[in-house]
Formats: sequence, C-alpha cells, structure tokens
Amino acid sequence: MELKDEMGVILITTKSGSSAGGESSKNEITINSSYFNVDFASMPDYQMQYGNGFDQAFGWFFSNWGPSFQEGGPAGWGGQSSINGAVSGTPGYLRHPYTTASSATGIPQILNAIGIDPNELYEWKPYDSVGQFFNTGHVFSNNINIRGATSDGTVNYNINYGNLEDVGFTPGNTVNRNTLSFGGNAQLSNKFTVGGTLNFTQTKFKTPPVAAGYGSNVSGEGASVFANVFYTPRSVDLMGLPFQNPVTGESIYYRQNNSIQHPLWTVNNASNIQNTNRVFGGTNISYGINDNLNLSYRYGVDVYSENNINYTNKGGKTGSLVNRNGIYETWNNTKSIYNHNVNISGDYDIDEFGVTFNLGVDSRSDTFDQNGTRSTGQQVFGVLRHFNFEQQDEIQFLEKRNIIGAFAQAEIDYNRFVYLTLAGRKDWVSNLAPENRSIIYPSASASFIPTSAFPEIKSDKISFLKVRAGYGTSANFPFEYPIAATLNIDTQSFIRNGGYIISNTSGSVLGNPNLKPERIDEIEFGVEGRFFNNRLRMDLSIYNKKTNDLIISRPLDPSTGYTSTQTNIGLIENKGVELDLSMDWIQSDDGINFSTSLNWSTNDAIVIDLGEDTDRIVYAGFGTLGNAAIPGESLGSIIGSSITRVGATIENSRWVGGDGGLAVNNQGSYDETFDPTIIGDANPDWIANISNSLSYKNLSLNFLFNFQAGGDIYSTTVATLLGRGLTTDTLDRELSFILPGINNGQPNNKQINNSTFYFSNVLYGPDEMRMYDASHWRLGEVSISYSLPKSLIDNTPFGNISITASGFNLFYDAINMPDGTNFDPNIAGVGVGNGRGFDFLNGPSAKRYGASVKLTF
Amino acid sequence: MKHINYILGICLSVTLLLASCETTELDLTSNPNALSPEQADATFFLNSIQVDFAYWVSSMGDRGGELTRINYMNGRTYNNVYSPDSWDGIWSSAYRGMLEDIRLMNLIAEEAGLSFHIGMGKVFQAYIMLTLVDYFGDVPYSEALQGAEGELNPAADSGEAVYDASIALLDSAVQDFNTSGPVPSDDFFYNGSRLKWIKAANSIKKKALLNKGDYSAYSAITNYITNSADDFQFSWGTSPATPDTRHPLYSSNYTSTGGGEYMSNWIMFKMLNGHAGNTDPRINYYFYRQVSETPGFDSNANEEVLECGLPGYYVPPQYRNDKTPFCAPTNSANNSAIGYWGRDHGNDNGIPPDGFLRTLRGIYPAGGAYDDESFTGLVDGSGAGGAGITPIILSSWMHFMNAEVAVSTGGDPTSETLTAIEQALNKTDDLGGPEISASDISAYIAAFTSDWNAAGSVADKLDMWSTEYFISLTGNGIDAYNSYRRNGYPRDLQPNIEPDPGQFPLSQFYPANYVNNNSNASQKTTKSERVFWNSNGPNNLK
Repeated sequence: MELKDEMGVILITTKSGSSAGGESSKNEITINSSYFNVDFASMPDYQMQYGNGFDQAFGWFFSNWGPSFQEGGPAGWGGQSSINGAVSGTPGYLRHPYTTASSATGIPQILNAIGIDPNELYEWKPYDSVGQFFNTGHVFSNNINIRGATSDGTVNYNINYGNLEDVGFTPGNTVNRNTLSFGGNAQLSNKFTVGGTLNFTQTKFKTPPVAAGYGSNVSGEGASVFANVFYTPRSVDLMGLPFQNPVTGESIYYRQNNSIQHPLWTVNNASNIQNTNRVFGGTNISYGINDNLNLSYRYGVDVYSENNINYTNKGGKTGSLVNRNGIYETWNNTKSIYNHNVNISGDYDIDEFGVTFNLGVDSRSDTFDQNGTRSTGQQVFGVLRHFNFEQQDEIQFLEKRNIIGAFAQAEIDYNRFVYLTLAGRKDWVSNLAPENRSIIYPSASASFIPTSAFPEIKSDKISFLKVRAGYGTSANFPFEYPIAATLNIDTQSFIRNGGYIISNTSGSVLGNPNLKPERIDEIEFGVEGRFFNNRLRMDLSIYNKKTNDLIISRPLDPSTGYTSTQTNIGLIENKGVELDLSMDWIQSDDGINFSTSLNWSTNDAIVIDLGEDTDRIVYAGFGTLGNAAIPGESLGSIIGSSITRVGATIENSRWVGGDGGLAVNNQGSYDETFDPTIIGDANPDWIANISNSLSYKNLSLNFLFNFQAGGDIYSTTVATLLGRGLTTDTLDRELSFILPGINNGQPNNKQINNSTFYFSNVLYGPDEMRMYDASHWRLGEVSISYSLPKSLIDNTPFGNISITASGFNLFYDAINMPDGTNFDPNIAGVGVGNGRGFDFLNGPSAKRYGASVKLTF
Repeated sequence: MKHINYILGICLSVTLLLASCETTELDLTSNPNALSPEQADATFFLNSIQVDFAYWVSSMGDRGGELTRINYMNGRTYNNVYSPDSWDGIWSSAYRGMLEDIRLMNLIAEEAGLSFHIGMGKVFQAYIMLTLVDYFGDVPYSEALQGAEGELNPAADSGEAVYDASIALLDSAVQDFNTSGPVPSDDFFYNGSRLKWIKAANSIKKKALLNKGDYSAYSAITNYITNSADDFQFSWGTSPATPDTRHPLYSSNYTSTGGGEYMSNWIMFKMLNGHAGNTDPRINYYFYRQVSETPGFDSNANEEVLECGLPGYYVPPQYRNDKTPFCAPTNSANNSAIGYWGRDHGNDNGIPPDGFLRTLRGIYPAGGAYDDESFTGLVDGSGAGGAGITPIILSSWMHFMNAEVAVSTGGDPTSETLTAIEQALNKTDDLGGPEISASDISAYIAAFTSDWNAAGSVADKLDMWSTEYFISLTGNGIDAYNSYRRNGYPRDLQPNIEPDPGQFPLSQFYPANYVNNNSNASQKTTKSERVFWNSNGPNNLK
C-alpha cells in the first residue's frame, strides 16, 4: 500500500488527548459498538423465460439464447429432442449433464461417488443460481477509547482499542482487524514539551481470486470468482451441481468437455490471504527558546509487514497449463517510511500586526522490500506447502526512494481581519538524474473578513463574510527507477539436452534521464458567508489547477526498440467549482430542528499540451481501449473501436464529416473501425450530495442522497448480462431485429436474430457498444438515533448513551443503463492507478443496514 | 542552565545527523531489480533470439496457414479477421524482442570476434524483415531501434529497400560463417555446422528472389537445402511449465478440457480423397480423430455439437458443388467423414462443448498423437507430449519452388514436383509413429503421377502442385500465403462460408502499437494494398 504524498511531508497524528481546559480533570471512557448486515446490492433482474442454448435450440453453452421454459410456442421445449423426452424418457427433463460428459473429463467414471445415477434426470426450469451464491454478510465492530488529562492540563493521554470483524457476502471473503493505540503529551518544567503516539494494527484479509473478465471465462491467467457467476445460464443449477471430483479434486461442471471452472470450486480451492502487521507513530520534542520562538524536532515512523499467500489447487479448468496444475505463492512485503523534521517557529505581535512563521528541513525515506517464492506443479492435491510442488521461481522486488526538503512559511494578519500567508519549499528526490532532481514551489494566499473589518455590515441578514484568494503549488515525484537502462536475464528460458538454457533480453522500458518532477499550480477564490443569524451557511470555491509535466508511462512503438518510457506530459488544466450550502429551516431548543446541507461540485480536466512529438498518449488501460490524453480533450476520455460512420473520416481521434449514419455490413451487423476514437468521457458533468437532518428532543433522523450527472462507463458486466440473454431486458427475443443504420447507402433493412443482435453486437461488437452513461442517484445513508435523556442516566456511571439504526446504499438507480441489469456504477475496474470508467466483471456493490450503540462514562 | 540546554540541543542535532544518513542518500537511480546493459553476454542473447524466433515463426506461420486453408480461419469477413491489435505481440517480439537483442549482441560479438554468432543473427534478421514486408509492406528498418538516441517515431522504409538490405545481409552472413569464430554453446538449429547454416542462408535468399521474380539469380544459387538432412527447423520439447517447451500448437490442442483449435475441413478433405482413390498416407500423422463417426455424416445428427450436420441444413450457394467440402471433410459426392471433424473457412459460430469430439493435430508437426484408430478423447501429455518441429525451410519446399521456377521459365515442373512429394512423405514419420513404408510412398506417387498426366492444362497441373505444396507447408504457412498471392493456385480452395467476405487480404493492417504510438505511421484504409513484389499478382483470390 502506497501512501501518496503531494505536500512533501506525511504527518501522521492521532489523538493525543486534550486538556478539557479549565474543568476538573475528567478521565473519560467511550465505547462504540455496531453490527451491520451486508447484502449484495446489485443483483440483476434475471429473466425466467428462456434457458441455455443458442438460436432457441438447446445446448450446454455459455449463453442463454435457448428454448423457453414453456412446452408450447415456436421457442418451446416441446420441439427440443433433448428436453421433450425423446432422449431422456421424461418430457420436461434432460439427461443430467454429468451423465453425458466425455469420458476424457473423468466425470462419467465418478458418477457413483457423487451420487448421480447413470440415468439421472435434470429438470428444465429456471434456477436461482446467483441469488443463492451470495450470502448475507455482517460487520461487527467494537471500539473503546480512554482519555484524560491532569487538572492543570500539562499532561494528557489517550488510549484506544478497536476490533472489526467483516464477513462479506461473497463466500470466502473476510476481514478481521485489531487496532491498539497510545498517545500523550506532556509539558515539562524546563521549557521542553514532549509528546508521542504509537499505533499498532493487525489485519487479516481473505478473498477468493478476482480478476478481469470479458464475458467468457477470465481474461488472461488465474481465475476470478465473479467471471462466470453473473452469466450462469438460467437453466444451470450453480448451487446444486456437484463441483469437485472426489477422487482427483478437479473442478467439474456442466459442459461436456468440462471447460468452465465451477465457481464453487474456485471458492473452495483458490484464495488470496493477506496478514498485515503495521506500526506507525512518532515522537516530538520541542523547546521554547523564548516566549515567541520555538524549536522542535519530530520523528515519524510507519512500517508494515504484509504476509501474502496466493494459491490455487490443481484441477482448475481455466487459464494455461501452469494454472491448471496448481500454484502456491508466498511472499512478504515490508514497507518502511521514516520521517525526520526540524522546525523553528515564531509568533510575534507588532502593534496591530500578528506574524507567525515556520522554517525547517525534513527528510522522508521510503523502502519497499518484497521477497517470496512461487511454486508450480502441485503433487498431492490440497497440500499447500512448497515441498509439495515441482518447480520454484523467485518473487523479489526492491524499491527505495528518499526525498529531502527545505521550507519556509510566514503568516501575517492585520487586526485579525486581513490575513496574508507566504510559503516556499524546495525538494530533492533520489530517483531522478542530478540535473533534474530538485524543484522549487512557492505559494501565497490572502483572506479578508469584511464583517470584522467593517462591523457595520453585520446585520440580521449578514452574520459573517470572508473572502479568500490563494495560489498554491505542490510537487509529485515518480516511483521506482525511471531513468535506468535495464537488461533481463532468465535462467530457465528453455531446456536443451536435459539442462536449462539461460538467456538475456533487452529491457523493454526506455530509461528517461530527462524526467522531471510534476508541479501542480492552483489558483483558488472562495467566499464564505453566514446569513440570517447563522441559519444559512455558504462556502463557494472556484479553482483552476494546472498540472505541469504530469508523469505518466507512455507506450512506444516497439520498432524503436522499447515498448514504454516514463515521461512528462506538458500541461493539464483542471477547472472546477464547489459549493457548500446549509440551511437550518427550523430551530428550537427542545422542539423540532430541521436542516439541510447541499454540496455541489463540478470539475473539468482538459489536456492543453502533450509537449511531445505525439498527439495522443494512452495512459491507462490497453493500447486500443483505455483512457487517453489528447490535446483539447478531457483527461478522462475513453478511446476504443467504434461503429464506422458513413461518409466520415477520423481526425484527432474523432469522427468528422458525414451525417452521423452508422454503417451496417452485409451480415446485418455494425461495421467496426479499429482505429481508436473517443467513445466516452469518464468525467461526470457534476456531482451533488444532499443531506437532511431532522431532530426532535432526543431523537434524530438523517438521510443523505448522492447524485451524479454524466460520466461514462465501459461496462462488461452490463454487456455480458445483455449479450448472453440473462436479464429481463432481453425478454423480447423471438422476432428478428434490425440495427438502426445505413447499409450500402440505404437505410438498413437486414434482419438479424437475437443472438447476432445481442451477442455479436452488444457484447462482442465495437467497443463503443459497451459504453453506457453512468448518471445515477443513490440513497447513500439513512439513520435514526436516540440519545437517552439525562434524567434517565444521571444516577448511572454513564455520561451519555445513544443508539443509532442506519442503512447504507439502500437504494440506487443508474437511470440511463438497462433496467434489468441493476448495475451500480460505483466500482473501480482497473484497480489502483490512473484509469477511470471501466468495469471488467470485477464485482458487485454492497448495502449495509444495522445498529450501533455509543456509551460514554 | 543555559549551557545545559545548548549542550542538549547540540547532542540532539548530532544524533539526528547520524540517524538520518541512510535517509538522505540522494543517488538511488539504478534499478536493483534488473541487470544493467554492461552485464550482458552474447551467447545468452543468442539463446533468447533463437527461442523467440521459433515462437515468432510459428505465430506468423499460423496466420499464413489460416488464410490459405491449411489451418482453420475464424471469421467472418476478411476485414474483421486479424484486427490491428492482434498483431501487437508479433511486432513487439520482432523489433523489441529479437532485432534489438541482435543489435546488442553484435556490439559485444564484434569486439570479441564471435562471427558465428553474428552470422546466425544475420540469418534471423533477414528472415524476420522479409516476412514483415511480406505481411505488412513498408516497415521501419533504417530508422528503427534508435529509441535511446531519441528517435521515437521511425519512418517506414519501402518494402523493396528492406528486401535488398536483407538479401545483402544473407550474403554477409555466409561470409561470417566462413570466418573462424567459435561455435556458440547452444545452436538449436544445426549444432554448430557452418555448412548447413550457409545452405540455410542461401535457401532464404532463393525464397526472397523467387518473390521478386528474379529467376536467373534464383537458379544461380546451387548450395542450398536439397535433402532433409539439412532442413532448417526448430525442435520443441515436452516440459509443460517453467519453462513450457512444448510445440505451441500442441499446448492449444491437448488440454484438460479437450481441443482448443479446429482443423481445416479443406485440407482434411484433400488428404482423405488423395489421388486416384489413394488416401494420402500422411493423414494419420497430421490428424488424430477422437471419435470414429461424425454426427450427421456417419451417424445421427447431433444439433448440440455439430449443428450443420442436421438434414436440410442451409448450404451457402458457393458450397453447392463437389469440389468443396461443407461442415465436415466431405461433400455430396462421398458422404462419409469417418470421424474427421473440423470447420469451414470463415465460420465464426460459438463453441459447442465438442472439445473431446473434434479432430486434433497429430504427431506431425506438433508432436501430438498418431492416429492409430483408438478414437478416445485426449488430454495434455498424450502422444509425443509436444516434441514437434516448427519448419522454417524444408528441402521439399525448395523442390516445390524449383518446379514453380521451371514453369515460369518455360520448362517442365514434373521431376521437381515428384522429388518434393517424395521428400515430404519421407519427412512425415520423422517425429514418431510407424514408418511409412516405401511401397505406400511409391503407390501414392504413382497415383499422383497418373492424375498429373491426365490433367488437361498447365493450370490443372498447378492446382495439384500447389495443393501438395500447401500440405507440406503445414506448420508454417508463410510461404503458402506468399505463393497464393504470387500465383493464385490452387483455384479450388474452399471459399469463405460468407458469400460476400470482401477481398482476400493482399497485405495486413499495421499493428495497433505501431500506428497508435508512432506519429510517422498511419493505418491502411484497406487490406487490398499490394506488397511491392506482388504488384502484378492475380486478382481473383478467394
């Protein structure tokens, strides 16, 4: 886990307790406890009419375009010899798929052992596969916090212990976490103040494997528990069909050649486990040189040790032979971050001016050390130790980076209604070439409070007003070793005459000694106001952020000898507005209180200049399908293949000319143009959150809505659910389809059947067909809480008792996406990185509901 | 008191300095996770190049074979197959993988006088560049591989210039083999025999000259691969993992879930019919049948696994004659398929669960199983376990090419054709399976000769010549793709199942990672752009 750092120094602070200034020293204990049920929120509306097959004919396929579950009608099963009794002997029943499997799969040989008769029948009807696959999970969390201070406030402390147990709705997915932390501060008598915090976290995480899928098994290596579950044909009994060969341990499932890995086999035989121990905290010591000056030193440390296990037993049916023969990997990642900071700060008051300043140096050192072993070729099924595997390979990676910085900052205020802050910083980083490794970045900001400067402005209507303007900068540095030229060695590249062959091959990344740090410059204007006796509060912020020399990995034409290099893109401009409004509609001391808060924001990131000898860089995803930086276009632009436009050509990644007609080929399907064009923009038009709070005496009700307008998503989940005929959106399928478009200069009239329409076009047509608008609304949170009245608890040791019932993500709707898919756009399909707007059958979304209790004594 | 405070302050600073030394090191620019280029070894480079070359030829050869019906081509229209990004891996392997490694190896080898290494590198480089031009047309060469000097957008050189440079490279390779450099420790092809390498270089040169149509220069070269002891081929192993050394076609045919590739109905049809009633004896080495009866042809139709075998199934008009098979390697003239189960050219249907029913590749050339009529489903490890060959130039191919030159210069192709067929037949049992008896070979050749003599025109003879040539090219269809575009034979190749598939691709779309990342590259509008040596080629290719 990488901690991203934009401001130069990571400051980790935890509660150090505080003196309840002036009151007698009270040591307070707070206990928080909560229990939530977690459910699968994005369950599609599966249709109950049609089953496994293609062209309304039955077959044990991956798709669901087969006969209907009724006997009569043109698509009825009465016409299917496998189902109408001609083959099985009983109408409405098939021969059990395991009884017709090829003998090379090993399934016919073990029918007895799994309790299936050679004449076993299988009922032709819709099964609830996906609903039964997911369970209801729960989150149970407890937290106790103790804090206190001496009566004179010179010493205070804080201790915290927390425990979390999270069982997900996906089988085999759990998280357990324990945290313990201490902190305190003491003012010593000799002008020294010392303080420190120490936190310890232990996390155990387990999950079945998740990887990208395109609607037909998993893409690439490994397995994914989600890849096949969502498009299980309606007539396949996922939960009822035995999943494991009792003799060999292999996966078994419904295809005659056993070519789909049973999802339950994946859950029971493959897993990623991560046990992490983390220690972080720091200590600080400061010395008051005099009343105005202070010298301090702060030391911070953050070390985690993450032990990983990844395994798949042999007998899987997906991926290459290596994957099917069993894999076992164990490795440890140790990440250490050390921080030193020396600082002189001052605080002076000169007449009506107040001046505070900071001067200092700091250093930060990051080390990531990974060591482990990868074993392949399991011998005895189910034994997961390295001695049981045939071949071993290394897992090893080391990365170290140091950053040193020097900074100065001064804040001047005039009579506490005009403030001016000036700051500057210079950083040096260790992984760039000496002439490019340092960067200077200044900042300045000013704010003015008219209501303090001119008290006559204050009135019933205007209670407070503040305007501010600022110019701030920050820098980013690359990771790993972008300037180095590399060479690869493979000590097991081939076998000849019984021995291994060693090979060298050139490194594919071009080292770039001219790489510079990124610098981000931001100008912001803001207005903050409170009106109508503080009932209406507003905070408006308008900003323009320019990123210079953004660091990305640029793909190269391999004929240069390299496939990528790290480079600086010229200039990206980010403009946005953010508005916060809150209104207390009804206020009373012991009656009804009702208030609403609105947060509305919009943001546009446009690529101004690529600064390179190129006009497009695909910075995330794949070369022909991904997010691209194109001058003049949004940074979130998604490029991919598109439907050919009649009479148009492609310029600067867009179709120009023509009249927008879509070209249909002589087979009745859309003609595909492979040259990538912009097919969508992952960036939403605006985002808003509205929260409402209603309270009456000790009872309060809160509910929060989230809205997103615009933003596109490339969704393989939706395309697969439609393309394989699974949801209610595909019920109307027995007649023919005509794609809107132009064929040979005339409006298209070529009729195609349901599978050509949905399977060949929606699911496997041009990339443009899989883009959907992700606008949605969501009921993000609802909660009711009750605080026990003081009269009840006055005679108890408790200071405060409150109970809350809440639900998260209970309702949502992606308004422009097909209704039956119930898709939740709030997922990240390309993992950690710069990519946005993609879903590759990566996973479902969750909703939670439950209760929590808070006690203080 | 003050003194104590100052002393405390100084102690603090000193401790700080000592403690933070490791964290203030600013020169951490070299990558500990890889070697640096100074640590390279020329022999290790050569190993990587040789293995990459075998994979590369196998992939390019696969696609050439798919277009010429030696393999099964998924479909449907010629515009849809082989999208630009499907060539990305091949482009990257050719330039970044092999050509860059050859360049870096030469830097070390020239200093150390390793002329054998340099010669081998030149042979590979020439073959790679010739094949890239054959498939794509104009490609970068003189401006390529200069990324480290800042050339990130190399412009393409004309195909003709690249061809001439490659031919010159082959001559220079011959000279390198005649110098006394040490033999590399691992020569996968010829085990260190200079004479054989020289023949291989000359054979590749002849191939290039034939494409250019330079018959006199072609015939002037006499030291080339004439019999199978000198065949230029790569032999694969049987290790399934870490590393996987099996023939690439083996790993896609023999898996735990059955076959992953379909065989071409056209080639099985031709071999099954053979000549004058003699089935081609090679058929049991080329293909393995997992079942003895093909549904719809030898037994009742089964809609689930072979839908097109249903009675009354729609036959596209271009298939309604006896020269072409439909759905199985058979047609209305001879209805039984005796268990052979493949697919038609351009068929893009979904995959039924027929992994253990369809016909698999046999022992030649993929190192699979010999068809001994055991008719069982086979999984990985069966047969020869992947110990097959990828042929780069075989002696039989050289004789087929000689026959073509004979026809083009007004001579008689008969003797070269018969020599070629005999050598091809003899080669087929080299990987395993029972030996093809001399009587079987002579019977087949006699049958071929009688059909040959009965053939009315030169065109009919060329149909037969090219069919035999294609059968022998199984395992590497690069020369089949070239020959078909040069000559237009055989004329009775199975048509695309799509009645309107578009024009047969005379070149391929440029790879996506070339056109999308190189500002001097632009994608072709169609695949009907001709390669330079094909400007006068036939127009009626299907």
